[in-house]
Amino acid sequence: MTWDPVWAARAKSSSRSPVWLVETVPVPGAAAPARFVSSAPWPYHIEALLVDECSISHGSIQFPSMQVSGSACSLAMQPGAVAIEGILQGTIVRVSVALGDRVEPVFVGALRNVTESTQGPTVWDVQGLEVSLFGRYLAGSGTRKLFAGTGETGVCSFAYAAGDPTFSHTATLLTLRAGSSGFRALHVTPTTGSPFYLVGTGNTGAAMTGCLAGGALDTTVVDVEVGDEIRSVAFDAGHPLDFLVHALDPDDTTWPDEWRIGIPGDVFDTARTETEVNRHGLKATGPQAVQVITPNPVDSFGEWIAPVLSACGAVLVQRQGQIVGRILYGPAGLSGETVTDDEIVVASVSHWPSWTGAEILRVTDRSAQPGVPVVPADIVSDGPGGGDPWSTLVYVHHLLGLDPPPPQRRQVRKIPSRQTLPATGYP
Amino acid sequence: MKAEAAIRAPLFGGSPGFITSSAGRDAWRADIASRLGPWFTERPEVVTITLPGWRPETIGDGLVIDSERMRSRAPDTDALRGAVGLIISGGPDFFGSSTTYTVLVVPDGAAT
Repeated sequence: MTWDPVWAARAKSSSRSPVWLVETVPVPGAAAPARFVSSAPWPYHIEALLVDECSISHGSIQFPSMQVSGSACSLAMQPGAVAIEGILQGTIVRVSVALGDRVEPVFVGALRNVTESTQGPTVWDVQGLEVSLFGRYLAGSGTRKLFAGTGETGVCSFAYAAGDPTFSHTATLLTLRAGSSGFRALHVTPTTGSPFYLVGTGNTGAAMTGCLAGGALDTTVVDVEVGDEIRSVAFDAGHPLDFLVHALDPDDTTWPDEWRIGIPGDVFDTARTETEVNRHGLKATGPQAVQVITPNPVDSFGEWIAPVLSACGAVLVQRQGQIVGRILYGPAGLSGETVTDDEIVVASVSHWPSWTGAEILRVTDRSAQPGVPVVPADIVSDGPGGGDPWSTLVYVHHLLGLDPPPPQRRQVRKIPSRQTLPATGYP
Repeated sequence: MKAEAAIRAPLFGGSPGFITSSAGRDAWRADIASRLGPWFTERPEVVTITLPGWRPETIGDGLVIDSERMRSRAPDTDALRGAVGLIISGGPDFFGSSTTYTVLVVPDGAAT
């Protein structure tokens, strides 16, 4: 959901009279209290409380690691404005702003702390929801972890020949749930070879049917003997942002409940996330689908999804009061609104920011001998880490998910400073 | 325990939606490289810019900076004229009346 154009136009103007609205967002079916406070008594809520101060810090992305530091909000209000007995840590809190007759959210997070003082306001510390997705909010989930049912083990009661579509595994009933791909998976530790992931379409409790001949995640299916260990795992394949939608959108029932978080639907921008998927060239099916195996229940959804997203150049961020999955693009793939000197109040430019950490050399290998290692050992990095620039190059390429380029393609750029490099043999 | 998520490219053979090859992995690698590189492997300039009012752009959005006052290290111009940047942090100061962004831009043609 994008901000209403009328509200956005008012927000851009210099003359506005904002009314602040702070609410705890109820989770359907859960016992979390819902309260509503605002800086004006009417018509927003009958229990109107003055928010004395609201400070919002926005998140950021660090390159080249693509780590996201989340947003945060500090709310100061009158002492006793909200009974602490009615608030739970982790409660979802949304801050909205009313401009005239239009109200739009500007921040959503999870309550981390409340500080009460005998001499000052009560302060709520709220952490951005994009970095607060630890446990599950799903109604009725109790203490069950995300991906509950994985990690169950058993032993094979029947021998299995690789390639057989039916894997009659055990008298022990294992939990084998399927995701958007329709496949479910077992981790098998065979006597005859290396462990592998066997995937199939059906599960009768004691047998997995519709098994594929090839194992998941580059593993090879081999024969299985009686007594070999098996373990239930969660498997899915698709676009990483679709995984976000399946886990976070309460109206999306593609994934079983045990794989979903259960946050209220209006704090996650499904439409915008799906727009990013469609904007992105890679699709959820076919050769570009990303496979994810989850071998055990997880404590933190955030920790689980972060590597999946970053490996694909995607991030979970906060946008206009909701959380949203985004695919990152360099400037060449971007467009946007133009700002000119007439609008710029203050600006500064850092020409060689140190934190980017990318020091790259332009080295052209003209030896025309593919496969012959050519390392510019005479060139010493002046970057923060010093040392061999070739290592730096390889490191950067690894961060990009790329293999080190073959020797004949070592053509990259020198960045850090103006200097003469003794690069004999590398014009 | 920490989350365990293993990511691999598809390798299934013969089934709809899956292909036996490393094409998927290569596709993602190539995709990341095309989206973020070579820009990603160059050292961008970081522009911190404050604008009036509350603006809607957020992390991941693009912003075109067309300024004659701001200099770039690009060799062919001293100005940031029409430079497209990626917003990596910042947003509105909701108890003030401005918006501040940190934007990465690449000085076109800058060799150092």
